[in-house]
Amino acid sequence: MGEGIALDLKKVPFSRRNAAYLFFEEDNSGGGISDRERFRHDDAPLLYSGEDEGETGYPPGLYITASSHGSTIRRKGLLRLIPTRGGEPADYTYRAAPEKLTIESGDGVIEIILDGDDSVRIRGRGLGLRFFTRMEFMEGAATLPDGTVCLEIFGIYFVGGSFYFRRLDGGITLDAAYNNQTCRTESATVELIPSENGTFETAIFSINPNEYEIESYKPFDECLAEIEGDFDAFRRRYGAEDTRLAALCEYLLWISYQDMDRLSAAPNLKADMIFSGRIRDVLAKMFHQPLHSLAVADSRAALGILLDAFAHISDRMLPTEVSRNRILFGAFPPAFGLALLELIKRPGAETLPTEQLRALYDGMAEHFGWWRTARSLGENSFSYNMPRECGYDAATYALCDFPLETPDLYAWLILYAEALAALAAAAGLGGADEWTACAKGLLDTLISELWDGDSFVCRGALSGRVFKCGSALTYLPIILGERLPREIAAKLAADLGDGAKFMSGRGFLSESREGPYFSAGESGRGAVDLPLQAVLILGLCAAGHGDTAAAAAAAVISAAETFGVRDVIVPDGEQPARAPADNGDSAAASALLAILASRGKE
Amino acid sequence: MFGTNERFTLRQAVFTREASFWAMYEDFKEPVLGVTVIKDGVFLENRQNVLILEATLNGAPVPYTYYSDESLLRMDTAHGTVEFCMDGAGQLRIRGRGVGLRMRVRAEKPFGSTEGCRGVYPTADGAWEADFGYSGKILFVPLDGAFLVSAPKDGEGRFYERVVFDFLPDVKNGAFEAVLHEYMTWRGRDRVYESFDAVRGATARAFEDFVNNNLKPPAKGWEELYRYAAYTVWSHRTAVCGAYLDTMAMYQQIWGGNCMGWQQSYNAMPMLKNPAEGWRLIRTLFAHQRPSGQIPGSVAYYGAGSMGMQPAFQGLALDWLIHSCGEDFLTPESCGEMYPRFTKWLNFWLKYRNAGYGDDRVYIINANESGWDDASEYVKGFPVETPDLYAFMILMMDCAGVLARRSGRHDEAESWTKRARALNDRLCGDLWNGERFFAYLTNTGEHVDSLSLATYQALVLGDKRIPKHISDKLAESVMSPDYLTDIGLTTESLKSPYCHFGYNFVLGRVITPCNMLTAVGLYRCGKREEAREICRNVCSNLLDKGLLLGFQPFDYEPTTGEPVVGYTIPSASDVWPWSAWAASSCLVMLTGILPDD
Repeated sequence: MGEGIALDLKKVPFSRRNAAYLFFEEDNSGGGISDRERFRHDDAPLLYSGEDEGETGYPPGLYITASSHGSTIRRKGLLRLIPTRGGEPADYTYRAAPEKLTIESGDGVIEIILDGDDSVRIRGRGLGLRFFTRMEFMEGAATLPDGTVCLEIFGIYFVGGSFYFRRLDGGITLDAAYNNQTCRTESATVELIPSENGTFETAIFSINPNEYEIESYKPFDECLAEIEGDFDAFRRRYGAEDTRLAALCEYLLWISYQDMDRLSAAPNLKADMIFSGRIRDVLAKMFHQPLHSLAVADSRAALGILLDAFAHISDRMLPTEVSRNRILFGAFPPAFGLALLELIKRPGAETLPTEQLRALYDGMAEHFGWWRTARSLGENSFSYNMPRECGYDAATYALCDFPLETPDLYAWLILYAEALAALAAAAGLGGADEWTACAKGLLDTLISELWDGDSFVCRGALSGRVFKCGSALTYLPIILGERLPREIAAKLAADLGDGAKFMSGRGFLSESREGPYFSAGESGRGAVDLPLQAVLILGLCAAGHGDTAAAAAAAVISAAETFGVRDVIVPDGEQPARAPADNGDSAAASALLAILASRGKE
Repeated sequence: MFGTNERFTLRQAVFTREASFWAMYEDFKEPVLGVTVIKDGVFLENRQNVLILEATLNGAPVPYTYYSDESLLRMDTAHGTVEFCMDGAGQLRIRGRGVGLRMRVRAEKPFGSTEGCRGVYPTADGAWEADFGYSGKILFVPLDGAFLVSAPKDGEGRFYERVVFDFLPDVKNGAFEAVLHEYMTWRGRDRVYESFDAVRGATARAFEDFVNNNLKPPAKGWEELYRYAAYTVWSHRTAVCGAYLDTMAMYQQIWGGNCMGWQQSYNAMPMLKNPAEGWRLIRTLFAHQRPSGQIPGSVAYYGAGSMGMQPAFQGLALDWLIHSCGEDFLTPESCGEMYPRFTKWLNFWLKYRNAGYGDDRVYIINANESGWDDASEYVKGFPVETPDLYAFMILMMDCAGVLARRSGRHDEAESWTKRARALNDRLCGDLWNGERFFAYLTNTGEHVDSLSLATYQALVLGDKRIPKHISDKLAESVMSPDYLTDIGLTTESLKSPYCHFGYNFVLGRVITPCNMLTAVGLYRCGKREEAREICRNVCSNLLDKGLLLGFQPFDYEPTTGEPVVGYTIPSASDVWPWSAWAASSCLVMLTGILPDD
């Protein structure tokens, strides 16, 4: 059970699967967040332009916040935790493990667990605990007649969170005076006070707990055991070596796992998904779901991830992003073929339910049909319509003519068509031969028209202009493995392994150092992008270039052990500061797990 | 209806139509028209999918004025015109003669940038698609004339330096025509397009049908404001898409395009010619009801709000419809279907906001739940019981009784009626001090003596529930100069130390829906002339200024004498923009109160 995972809450949050809440440590890294930013919803005007901006940043310390789905760091709905002794703040240390956050001061201790999807349990001995927040217009704080203290910190734009404190032992007080001159409760302080025997226990809910009609509360330790069991079960999907890095990756994936929305009448989140993270990009990126599937050893779980993705298909399109709040449809690299072809090689794949394979076939065939309609300007010709569709906004594809035929897109689609052929065969459906022929046609186009003898090139689908591009994406066809002529594979491997071009001490660069647009700190334009590492390393292994794969794998793993499970690693020097707890990305976690699993298979 | 010499401009209500998410408006900062798609609900000052419109002659911009009515927007130049109309399926139609049209992407934030435009590219069928991310996509389909796209990127390919679409007249006939589609997934061009005039005609008919089918005529002399209000209400009705599981009424469009919970009931209240449509609107929120019974505070294209809620206004709106139209529109089938949901919502309040006295007294815990963001009823905090809240509960219980009775649940009907009467007795007994209603802190029992207009809201209960001595007292006080101004009632007494016209919402400003509710209350308590006086004052101002949500009655603060300091964001008036909330309230006044008996 996560032994050895000591979580640094400055780098990653303390939370759990599908949890509404998370805890982190603010250290004002990255310059902190000003009040002006804190009180702005990212789509809303600042209503009171004349107001005093007040203090800058949050004081360092531990905070609890409610998850807010979306793609910006929403610094709203934050409560600061202040352990107290005799009503005064006490110095403290903390230990965070996946199952529990422990705060200690002298001989006092406070333990915090996330005992449910939208609840927190806290118990303390020898210490009290204070929660403090500033509040803004339309946010409310009240003590209900039954003693429950509620803070509704979501303002006029309904972004933020609700916190309902229910006393189980000890006392709770609220200090929050409403100021009608400013029309707000300006701040709220909730105190969890030990009883005479020095203990307290409190539950926090995101809605009035009376709505749950709880007759009795499960004992704290029983909840803790359930959490441990849940994490253990989740980890078993991966079958990774039991190292700290692997365990941390599994933890990040666990806390990024989001159940489908079962409450909404018109849900955006139609199936369980793995979100990018819990601090920034609190949404699922569809491009990364195949990578998440690749990382999972359990073939049924891996298939489930793919099926969950295709639950969101609409008008034959998949969304690029989805969360509870929004869904965004667009094109992205169709990496599902790679994931499925790897999946069916795994032990146990022969027992995968036929009806699920059929369902996946239907979704993938429909999706491929969309590519044929919307992103194909000719027979065996496919293109991205705009740069971000390649998965990396800053990739130097952006300097080419669009619509753009690219080597990576062809590689993805070749595997996609082959996967459809495999699915058709496995599910007892017709059409496998047609899909195989489709894959072959695309491979022919790739090799005969997009290989210039030295490297793969891009081609404007309308202009016909050919572009030699320094992006590592042009080396992605390595994932075709033995489908590629040996000399092509050898050239790709040689370039990827060349320190003057792509190889760095921390992994493959996303743009060749030789290129005029190389930018070391930028994702897609020079930095080491973790998702790309996994794909290139797996491809090199498949193409028989295990040495290069192993070298890159070692470099990536070392970098992750040093700098954390970041999605983007700068190849030289220190990593740029990020907001607190924003140092763990689920796509990076899956990439690392896939890389760890590939070791020894070169 | 609008235009250079017309009473209203597109700086107030935008040009759009029912079931369309296109919105065309006059920019607040400069005399130019803009067009955007408002599905994302983003406030105007943050919008990124904005296209500024220029008329062009030989490629150069030429000055223009504009004219608009319910179905057509026309840009007029010395050399020709450009016309726009919309259908209810995502199409914006454009045609021009003598001049061209340039549409230039100009985000509001960062101002002037192309930042929201993720990509512009040609499609296989001769159109161009522009991708604005969560704001949706636009397909530009040229039908006649020339079409040019200029979207160069910076030297590193990171962003568009400009994104410009030029429609140019055909050299032979001097005309151009185009279709723009807005959507969220993917589409190609249609095989066949109806003519521009056919689309326009259908829109004009749709509006007339809406008015004729749903609205009673206005009081004499108010026809112009009536049509403007009717247009605003009609044009704010959504298509059925996304989380809009049925046609709903948006609060606003370019300033926060979403459907607020209680405003569905406000928009139901004017449907006096077709109360079934009002009942349908009231019911729309219930499609999103939670297991606890709570219905969301808002619904937007992308989903229902997951936090907070708004008042249980449905009883008030339904009671008004019943009072005005009789009960026959409440079929036994709809009553049977709605009774469980309606009472589940009511019981949510009676159970989870119960004040703990062993009866049906309830409280709120923040201003969101009252609808009055900053009323002085909350000066001592929460949880608080207020007379308007009790009134909502009484009306909900009475309406639950009606639904029960009409679906054959007679025992339950009787029970609800009894409970409504009991709470009504508590209201008139416990929250009345002889002069006015007051609020009551649940935890301490402390009275909150407030001069908020919200304390008059209980008048909506009407003379069958409010004793005459109470309604007489309230009528006398609210019609005094402490509240009544030339433009309507202030939301806080001018004698109150809290009265303020600056940043606040209902701490003094003359707010259209608040005035409507007070007028409805007086009207239902037999104070018809008082009600009509309020309506005349309010509606005269709306006719002059537009269907804006709120107004400052004076340029100075009554408490200090200092000039009013308001918002700095650009807006159509001193602060609050136009809205269907104001428009529906206006229609209630014009059709339900002002007409002679």
